[in-house]
Amino acid sequence: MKWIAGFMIVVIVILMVIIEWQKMSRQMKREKTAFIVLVISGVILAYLLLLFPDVPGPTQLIDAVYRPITNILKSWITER
Amino acid sequence: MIEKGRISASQLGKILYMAIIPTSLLTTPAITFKYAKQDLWLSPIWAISGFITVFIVLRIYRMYPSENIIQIMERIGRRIPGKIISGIYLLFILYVNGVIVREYSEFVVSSFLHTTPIVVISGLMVLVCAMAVRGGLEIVGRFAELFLPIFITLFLFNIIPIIADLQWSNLFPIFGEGIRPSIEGAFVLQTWFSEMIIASFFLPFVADHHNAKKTLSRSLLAIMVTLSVSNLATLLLLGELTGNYSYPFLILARYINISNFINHLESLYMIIWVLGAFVKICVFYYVTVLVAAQWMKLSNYQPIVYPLGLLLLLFSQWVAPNTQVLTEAIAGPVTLAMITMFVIIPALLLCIVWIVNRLHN
Repeated sequence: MKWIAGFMIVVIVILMVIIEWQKMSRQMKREKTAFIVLVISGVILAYLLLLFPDVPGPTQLIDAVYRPITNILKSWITER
Repeated sequence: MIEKGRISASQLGKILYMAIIPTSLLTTPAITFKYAKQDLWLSPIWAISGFITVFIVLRIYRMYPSENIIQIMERIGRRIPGKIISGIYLLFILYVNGVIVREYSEFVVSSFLHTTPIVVISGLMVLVCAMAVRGGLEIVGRFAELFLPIFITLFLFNIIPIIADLQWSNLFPIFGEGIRPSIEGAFVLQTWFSEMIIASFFLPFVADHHNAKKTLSRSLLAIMVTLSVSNLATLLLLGELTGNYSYPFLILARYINISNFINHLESLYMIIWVLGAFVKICVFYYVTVLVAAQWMKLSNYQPIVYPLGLLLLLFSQWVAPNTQVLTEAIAGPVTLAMITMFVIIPALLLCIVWIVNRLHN
């Protein structure tokens, strides 16, 4: 299954680049840079999630940041 | 300016309604019931963060009519701190949208398409939304305007047939344990009410801006009433069972049976859900794209729509390993994070802007 997903990522990225690239004119240097940076970060994240599905996510970060407040709130708010 | 399209104030109101109601309709009865029990229909009235957010948005809009809060933060924070704050906001909005996409596909997979991989469902939705967002602000506004009547009709069609079966005794005792349970139940609802902040990103493009105040308060009121009605209908039909289902409102649709002839109306609920989630994801997607383009100072946001869609899809997979973790996160840390990012920091921003303006005069 993993190699199908890995292959699909490549297909999606190639399609995206082909469709978008010809629509951008020559003056749009900034847009092209932004496009490339976003696509590359997307590809890196995609393969990261594909190869290591258990990599800690943003939810864990938010959970860690708010842990003290969550605990205080839990002592106030009770399930009935 | 990066966006050339304009919307009307009434379209803004419809955008806000459609951007907040769909996911809250689905999950709030169950979450609120845990804390508020039979007072759950009173919880949406405690929309404190909604009122605060609308107040902040309107005040800031009056001072800077052509900018959204993130641009103002960038301006107040000067170059590097401003960029860092707006970058955090960009990631956070992307994350929130990832959570929404995930909620949408989890529901579709668990209730209707059991064997479809979740990535396919999220991916198709993100693709459709990307096409709409690429069309620009006016397209998003028109979709909201087009789908709102269908949404409300189907919503009523889910409620009216069961009116005869409602058991009004489930309602009592009102305030059985005082006012506190309903307030505690309202805590999670603040997640949705704080989403009113997205009005700030659309207000600069509203053509008839003198109607802004009216339309914002109207849509907030409409959201409160809709949530109250859906919570009430769920409570009156299911009673104590409300907390046992993860999607109680779907049970309402399944319950409908008109003379053994019209039944299995959950497909109607599916229509509500897909239409609503489509507009909701579009709105947050558009905000993400707009903020990203402003953050990178692009002249046109269209080229980055598809790459951000890929990131959005990945975030939707990344936010949580399964539904339980996701629901638990929404009930706790995510709500707190949204209150901080969408209510407390904008309130501080308003204070700072106000003080700076005072000093200048």
